[in-house]
Amino acid sequence: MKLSRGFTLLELLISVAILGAVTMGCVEVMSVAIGFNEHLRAGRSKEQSRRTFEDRMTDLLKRVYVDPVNNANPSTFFVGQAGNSAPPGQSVQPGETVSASGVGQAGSGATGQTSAGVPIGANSSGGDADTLMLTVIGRKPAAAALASTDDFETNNQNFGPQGGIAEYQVSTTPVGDSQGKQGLVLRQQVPADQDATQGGTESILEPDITRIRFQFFDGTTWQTSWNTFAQTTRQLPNAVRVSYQIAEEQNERVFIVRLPLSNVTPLSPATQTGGSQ
Amino acid sequence: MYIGNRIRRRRCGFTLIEAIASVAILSIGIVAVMGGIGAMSRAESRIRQIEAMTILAQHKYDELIATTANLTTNQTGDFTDQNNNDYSWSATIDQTGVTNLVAVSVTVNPTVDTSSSAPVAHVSGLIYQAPASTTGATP
Repeated sequence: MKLSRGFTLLELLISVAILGAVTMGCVEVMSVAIGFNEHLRAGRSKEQSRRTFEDRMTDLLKRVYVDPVNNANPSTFFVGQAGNSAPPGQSVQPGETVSASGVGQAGSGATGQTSAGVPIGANSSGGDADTLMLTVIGRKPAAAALASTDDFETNNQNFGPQGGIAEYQVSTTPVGDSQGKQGLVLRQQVPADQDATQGGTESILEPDITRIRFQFFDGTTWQTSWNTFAQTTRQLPNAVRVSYQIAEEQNERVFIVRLPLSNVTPLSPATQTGGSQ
Repeated sequence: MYIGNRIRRRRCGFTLIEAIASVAILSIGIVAVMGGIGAMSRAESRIRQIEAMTILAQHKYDELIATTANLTTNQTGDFTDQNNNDYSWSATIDQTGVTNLVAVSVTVNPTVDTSSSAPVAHVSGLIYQAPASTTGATP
């Protein structure tokens, strides 16, 4: 009789209360853990994209090449300069590609080969170069082009010319119409022509970057600009310091890349930087 | 009588001691799992830290050989010029016995954590330092 009486109401209440408290605690812990996990994951993917960007910039700068003899190969250049401040309403969004509408049409009236066409105006880079125009050798051919069994003409049509010298521009200001997109823009033209300021196609290299600036080591000091067009004998800087600002971060991130194809060393500094001071 | 006793005992369900013991075992298990998860995330953060430090060391190595005229003396410094106060670096320059060839080793350590178990990153290489003027062929 006594055994089959079951729980009393009081016992049930207490047990339910304890269960409730424990469940509340568990839910709290779970929500904190999920939030933390989300936070970690977001941070990890952000960090990953920064690293990818730095790797790509490093890879690009490690391949920079200029022909030392001026006029021998006018399609090679290395120009870093300030003043490419973004006109209002012209910016580029993440993940989209902008066509710079071919050689000689894109750009804001820049003509000729030199940087003279690019206005030197107000910019937020503190006098440092914020636009880099360069030529590289030894680009990796497209994997699809390597695997293709088509003949040369077809491949050339599908993938464009492989190898040779390619022209790149890195800036937060696109040359062509960006259709309201923002970020760091990479302009690529293969093969390079003699016009450093335009041509080829543009794409977003990193959407979160709001500002980028470059400094160039000439063997003695860090220069704020570099222009091989103005040099009698073309020389590359020994190293490039890249500082970039992520929109939601307080401080700039900085990294330094040595240019292996430069003949400038601290013991034999560059004779002239050709920078527009 | 004996059988009736057994039936009565069986109907009793768990005793308080049994319940407490089971809860204790369960909680030990939960604590172990939690500890495992914690160790996992700590290990991951350490790996990420070492990765970041290795990249810093690589860049510092590049910077040193690009911007230093004569790599002869050991150097130390931090990364405050790169807006990073978490790490510091030291570079060891060793003579290899071959003229103009030095061994450069860059080590990056966390600034705060100086314990022996702190993560550390090394990058080292051999640098040929061309003399200012040469009479022979260029390398």
